[in-house]
Amino acid sequence: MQQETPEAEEASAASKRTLEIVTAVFFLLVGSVVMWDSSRIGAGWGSEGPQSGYFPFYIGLLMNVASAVNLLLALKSSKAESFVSKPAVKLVLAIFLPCLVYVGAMQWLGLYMASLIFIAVFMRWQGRFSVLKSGLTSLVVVVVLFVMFEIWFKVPLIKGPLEAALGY
Amino acid sequence: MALSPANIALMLLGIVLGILIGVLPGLGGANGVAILLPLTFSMSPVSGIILLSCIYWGALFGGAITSILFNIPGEPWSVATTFDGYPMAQQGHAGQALTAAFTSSFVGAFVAVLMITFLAPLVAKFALKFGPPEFFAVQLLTFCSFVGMSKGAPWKTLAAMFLGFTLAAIGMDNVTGQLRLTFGFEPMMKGFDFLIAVIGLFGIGEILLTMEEGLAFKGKDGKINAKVVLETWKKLPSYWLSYIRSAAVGCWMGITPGGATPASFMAYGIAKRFSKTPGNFGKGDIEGVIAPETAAHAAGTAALLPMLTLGIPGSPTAAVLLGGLLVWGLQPGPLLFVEQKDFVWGLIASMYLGNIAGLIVVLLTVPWFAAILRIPFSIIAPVILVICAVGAYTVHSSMFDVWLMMGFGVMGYVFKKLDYPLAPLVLALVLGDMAENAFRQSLLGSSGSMLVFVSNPLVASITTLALVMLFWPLISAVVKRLKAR
Repeated sequence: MQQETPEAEEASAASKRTLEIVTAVFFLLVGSVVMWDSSRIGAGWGSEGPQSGYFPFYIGLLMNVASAVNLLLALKSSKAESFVSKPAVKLVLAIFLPCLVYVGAMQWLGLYMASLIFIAVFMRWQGRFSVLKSGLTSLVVVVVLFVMFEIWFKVPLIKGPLEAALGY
Repeated sequence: MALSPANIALMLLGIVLGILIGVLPGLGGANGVAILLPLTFSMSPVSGIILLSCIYWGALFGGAITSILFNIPGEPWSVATTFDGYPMAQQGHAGQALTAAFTSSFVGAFVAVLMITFLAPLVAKFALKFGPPEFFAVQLLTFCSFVGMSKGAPWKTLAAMFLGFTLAAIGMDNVTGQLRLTFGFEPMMKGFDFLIAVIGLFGIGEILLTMEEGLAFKGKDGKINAKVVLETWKKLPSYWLSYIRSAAVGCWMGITPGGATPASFMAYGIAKRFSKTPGNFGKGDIEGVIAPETAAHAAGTAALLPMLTLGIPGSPTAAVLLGGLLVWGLQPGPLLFVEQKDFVWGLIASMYLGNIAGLIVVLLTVPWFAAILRIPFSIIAPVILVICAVGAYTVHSSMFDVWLMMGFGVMGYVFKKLDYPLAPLVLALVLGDMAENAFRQSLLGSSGSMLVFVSNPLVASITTLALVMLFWPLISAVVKRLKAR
């Protein structure tokens, strides 16, 4: 796998051990919330059989047991191994952050406009394509999506002010 | 009637649409069929079911393409195909892997159709004996198999699985109507849809992982020509035993509502256990492609058997098809075979033809789908993200789902890097409600005694097998230690 490639010269952004511990704690938190909420709505035996919390309560309990073991194993593991290097984090964020902005923009601009901008900007910024190429590619993708969903499949996607102005 | 030119045209249309749906992550067999269901209301029931079931066959074929070339499972049941299919593609054997996958899919489906044709009444009678304890025991077996057969850390498998069950429990309890784990947050009330989780975990997670490696696109060339196809076909008969085992697992898991996804994992695990070279699995063993594909298609097809004969769908897609039957005014069940002979045999005929047509179409169109791979990743990445967002949005027309998908994406990225398996998580999310219902009904019948899961030979043997699977890592460790002495 990819993680095994030596990345000694690249500074580590976080150790694998830290992430293992954070993940195990996350599981423990979820498990505890599940157990708490299940016992709140009743995890016992009601008048008409097992109550709503019966099954989830034990799911939460077993999840906590498994995660506690994972946490112990993580605490015992070595600190040396890197989870992700600093340059790699930058690359991941280079797509993840624009994607968050894209999903946020979708609410206001509608899916088609947001996609048009997202694809074009990403191509120009990361792929170094010309403005014309980026814009045209993006436009083609969005038009295909529009024809496929609004006309062909008849599945309405979220729309914004531009579509409203065009009468959709 | 099923063979009229119009119906054959519908069949081809369905298969091409299905492959497209199967290839696009986020558009799956179940929601693909659901989206197209309204279009068939004006058709005759036979034409309608031919179109819909061929979309289903197409989606089953299509899922393998992205699994092998992109390492992105287009469908949950093609997750197991990525284990060896993608390494094969990396080594330059994409054509072989694709041919093996399609041919195995075809064989699996064909075996299941033969079974439906001849064994339907018998098998249905057997499954009729199943009560809630048997159903739960089968589910238990499915989940314990994950622990017994996964190569990763068993505690991580368990944690991921229970997280899936937890997500399944969110929303309204379908027995008492009580809200669980929603904390008064309105969008949580309808619960989590597994499609959102699949799109986020696999789609977004994979994009993030790929980005990390510096925009080098990992998709492989899908070149396929007659020579590769014929050479691969020559090799395949030597895996006859694997075919038989996988088809049997698939048929069984399809009839009992285990479904295609666990069937593919079980078949993969079994093939690995029986293999003379288990060390090659995960590194590009052709048998690791054959086994899950055969089982997934056998299960996907066999899932229609209980749907037709008993009115119990064996898979989410079969459930959507069942909805179609009801709209056309057909009541699924044993009477369907008596009162609607034309319809039933038309459907069965279309299963044979649809799969033959599917194999031909998919082999011919693969180069076209592979052309996608020559496009640079800086175009592919945002386009896949857009398609994922579209897929997540269309499930319930909800923006909350799109945000949820992003959350699952981060989860998928971290989990993949820490070797938390994603498949048990997704599977628990899909089957969670079903498992819980079976569990509660069993306990209700026994007034709370767990002994109900060993109360007769059938359920006792399934439960025992499940426990063996669960403790398999422990058992094999003990055996190893004893041998070492």
